[in-house]
Amino acid sequence: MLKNKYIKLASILLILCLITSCVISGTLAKYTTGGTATDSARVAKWGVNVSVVGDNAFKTAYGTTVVSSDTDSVVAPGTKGTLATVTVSGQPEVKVNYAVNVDLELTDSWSVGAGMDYCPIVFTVKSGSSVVATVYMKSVGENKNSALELELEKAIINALTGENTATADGTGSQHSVEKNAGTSLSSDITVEWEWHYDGESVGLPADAVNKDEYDTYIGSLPTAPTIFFSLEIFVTQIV
Amino acid sequence: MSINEKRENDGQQYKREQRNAYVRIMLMVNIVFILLLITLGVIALRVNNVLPEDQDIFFVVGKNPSFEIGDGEGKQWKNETNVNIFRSTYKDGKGEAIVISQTGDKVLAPGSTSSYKFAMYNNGNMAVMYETDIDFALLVNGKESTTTQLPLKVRLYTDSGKYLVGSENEWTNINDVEIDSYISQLGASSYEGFTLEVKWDYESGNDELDTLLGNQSAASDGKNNKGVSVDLKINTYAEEHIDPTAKGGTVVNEEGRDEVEHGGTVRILWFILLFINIGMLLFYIAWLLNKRLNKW
Repeated sequence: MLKNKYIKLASILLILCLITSCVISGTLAKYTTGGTATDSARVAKWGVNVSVVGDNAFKTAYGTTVVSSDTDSVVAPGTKGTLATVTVSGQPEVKVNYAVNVDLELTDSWSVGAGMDYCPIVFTVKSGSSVVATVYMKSVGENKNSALELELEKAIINALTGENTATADGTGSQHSVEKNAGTSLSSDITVEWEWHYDGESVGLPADAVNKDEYDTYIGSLPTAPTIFFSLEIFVTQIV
Repeated sequence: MSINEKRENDGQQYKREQRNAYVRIMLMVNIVFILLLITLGVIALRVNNVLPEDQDIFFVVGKNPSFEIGDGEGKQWKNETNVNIFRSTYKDGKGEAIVISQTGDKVLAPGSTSSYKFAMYNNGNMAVMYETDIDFALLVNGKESTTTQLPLKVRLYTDSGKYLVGSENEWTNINDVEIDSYISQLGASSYEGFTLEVKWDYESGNDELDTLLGNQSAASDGKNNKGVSVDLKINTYAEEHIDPTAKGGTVVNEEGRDEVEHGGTVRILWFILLFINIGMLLFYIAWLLNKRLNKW
């Protein structure tokens, strides 16, 4: 009996040891933890497309009424054409600068006397079929030809952007407008030109300068006046 | 011998055999337990060898570990926690938006910069070791690409000025980021702050690439064609330091910290357990020997 008691006592002690060992092992258990942060982003959209078409602005013949004697394209009273067709599309997710650079070169011969610039061509800017602006000379005078260029440039960018807030750059050779991120840039414009036949022509603005004697004068010059037109459109992301 | 006497003898014989078997089992358990204690003791002694000379502690009683990672917006990192490293809108110095996502997605564009701050906090009463690393994945239409170039640059540095990626004067292109795990330690009630900066230079030197990437994104339909995107992941793992009193990071508050009780009590307990088991082992052996001698 006594031996059984000893055995039982020893067994109880052993069980207590096993329990205590669990407590000790708890002090050896290692603490671990962790965490992960994730994020993702895509490239912001650009997708701006600009198309400027204007290869046949001037012609060598307009029906049978005006025909060039050589291969040069010509302009004359009663002729007209399309300088450029512009299509812009896209809705970029970034802020942009919309710049238009018009180069309208009228040689010195577009003049009826010293300091008397004369250019009877009327430029019309249309958005779709609606006339947005007409640009023309209202009187002869000094530096009138260069003024036409600036006016045409402003008219084009205003038609493209729908704003009248275009500002010229430091040299005055480019007008631009800033557009906020997410703005749709879609626009479709044409730039037309017309040398009205005479002062009574339909569609000629009432205050536009157009005189037969001036037309005759510049048409008789030994060095014919020439006109050059180019249109550049830049859409650039800005920060 | 009568049948009853024979039965009584058989019964007693059975009880003896039961008792012997029981003792043998307890003896085996006792031996195993002693071996366990010896193993623990050997491990403890080996651990003790790598501690500083003035410390011979290896057990900690009263442990209260607490480690977490949080960011400047108050988000705590758990498992794959989505955080705001990138943005859907970026503004210039005047507060005007220069990039705006049309879909609400987070976006990247030339001129966009972002700065993400996060910190490791050890709020417990013992030091921890932690390990952190960054994974970038460049995706084209949802599939990982190792050839696509994205002019995105990053820097990662601690508040103490240690750069894990890039340097004070240099940013690392995302395609070139190679970071081995950064391992450091934080003392009790301490923290370490980090800043992750990401930028896409407005003048990246490759306008054609910038435009191409932007057009790809514009042509995406958000489903099969998702354009180019970036996935970023910051992983952190922490475990208790082998030396609970190790220092590291910026201490939050010296006052009011729980004191950690090191070593002594548990070491004594270990010795007591060992002696008890050895005593029991000797007892069982003596009992068995006594039985055998009585038989002879």
